[in-house]
Amino acid sequence: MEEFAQQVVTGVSIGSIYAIIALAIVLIYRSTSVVNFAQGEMAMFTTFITWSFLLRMDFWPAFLLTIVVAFFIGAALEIVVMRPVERAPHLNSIVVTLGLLAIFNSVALWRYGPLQKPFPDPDNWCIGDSCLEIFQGDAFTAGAVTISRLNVGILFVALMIMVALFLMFNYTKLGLAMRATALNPVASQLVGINVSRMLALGWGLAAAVGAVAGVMTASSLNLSIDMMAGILIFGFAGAVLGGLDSPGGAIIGGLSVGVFQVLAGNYIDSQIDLMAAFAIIFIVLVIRPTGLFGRRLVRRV
Amino acid sequence: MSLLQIDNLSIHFGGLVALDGVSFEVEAGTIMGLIGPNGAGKTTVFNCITRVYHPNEGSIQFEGQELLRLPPHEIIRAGTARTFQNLELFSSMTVLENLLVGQHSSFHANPAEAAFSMPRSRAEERLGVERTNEILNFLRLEDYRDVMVSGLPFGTKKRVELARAMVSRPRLLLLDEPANGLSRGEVKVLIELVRSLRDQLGVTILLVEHHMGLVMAVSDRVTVLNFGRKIAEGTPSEVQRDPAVIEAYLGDTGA
Repeated sequence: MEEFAQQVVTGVSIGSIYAIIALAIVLIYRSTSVVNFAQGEMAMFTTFITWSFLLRMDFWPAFLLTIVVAFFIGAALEIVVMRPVERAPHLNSIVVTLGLLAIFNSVALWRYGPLQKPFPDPDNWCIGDSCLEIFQGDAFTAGAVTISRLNVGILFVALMIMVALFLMFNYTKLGLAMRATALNPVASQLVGINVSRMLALGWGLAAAVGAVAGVMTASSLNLSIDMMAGILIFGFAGAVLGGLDSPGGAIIGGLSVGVFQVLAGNYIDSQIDLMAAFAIIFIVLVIRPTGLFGRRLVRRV
Repeated sequence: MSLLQIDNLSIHFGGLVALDGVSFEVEAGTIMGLIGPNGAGKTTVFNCITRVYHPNEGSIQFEGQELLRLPPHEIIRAGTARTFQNLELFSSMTVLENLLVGQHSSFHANPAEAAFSMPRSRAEERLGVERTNEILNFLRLEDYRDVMVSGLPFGTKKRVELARAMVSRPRLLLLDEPANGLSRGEVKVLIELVRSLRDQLGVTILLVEHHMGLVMAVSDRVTVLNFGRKIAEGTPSEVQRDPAVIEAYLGDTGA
């Protein structure tokens, strides 16, 4: 039983990164119906930007600066690359995101090389002398179950992002306008919402959220060109499981995929975890195409 | 100077001419009916005014301002709002949220001002709440305030869409087939409602409608389109006697 509990805890901590990347995928999907396959590579690329900031400053300033830079990269991509294909069939947009995946991958390889780069663990949060020790220090233990400080920190960051987005979407005028745009672009424009700006904002937000996932991944593994490839697939599985248009579903979906992956790896075979992700995508698409929390679209015909 | 002045409006989609040199004016404080057989171009006129389509030729002046020079999301700020033939609501939001989105154009305070509840944000919020309540009462929607729109009956949804248009305090309201899908009793109520929108809330109305009883009962003037051209304009009784109109609706009688 304790072994099982340990597996679940490990799964949740792995899954928290999937949850963040799933959230980024959902942010773009719900407003444009486009799955951004470049989400993982964008996150990898922005993490290299963090790495170059880290040569000049401390961890958290570098982290925050990266989020801002990522936001502008995401918004610029929407304006320059996605907007011209906005009115074409969605397949065109999706192919464009595959192109972005290849471009970010090659540019990163060209600029930063194929070697892994060491990446520091995040510092603890300190105000004066009092510190919130959730990133560094001894692992937490409860009975035979342990969880590292870093994993607690990552989980905490994932929850903070979710709370921040929840507050923004439900209690601000901007959030209401973004939800309206996702639900009905025609009517949104009519009530005076600048729909193009909302789509750019959506991409910016997704890139910023993705940047967090990238930095957290690099902290727990190392920084490398291909670090996000597998994570994108698991994150995508999480997004599909949660329902592609539900931010809350993305978090729960991502965490569940992490747990499922660890359990499958432990109780079946350690080589099958990637297959487990595909099994989840497949089963969900067959049994419940809209995911656990997705909304069902009923159209009058 | 008319409130709305449409001049020589033309639009074609490939080889199909949807509007061909249509001109008419709507005086402030009046109700103008826009009628014509299916495919005559009535909704296309609405789509040009609200900038869903961009006409090939012509001009649309509202209070002397050229609407065709504004981007689509600025049209509502100019003072016009519309409803749709097939309802364009935010269906997984509540009635109240729909009305809040409807007031998007009236809020100017930025998110920081709103977050710290600065004076401008507070004043706008108070005005917004007042207007919302006024419109909810006017359209008898108080009981549905926090209900999700997707679960409401069709007639109620149409009132929600009307409410969303009205909260932005438009001076010109474009109604696209408000009677569509309503029962006979509901149409009677609608006739009174359209009149009271003009008389009590002071909004000028341009009305596209197939229900002749409604059009003839509420309109001060009626413009008739057929195959993208204006074929008649006048008071309801003038239009009903017009031979070109009778022919358009009944076909060539050979007489």
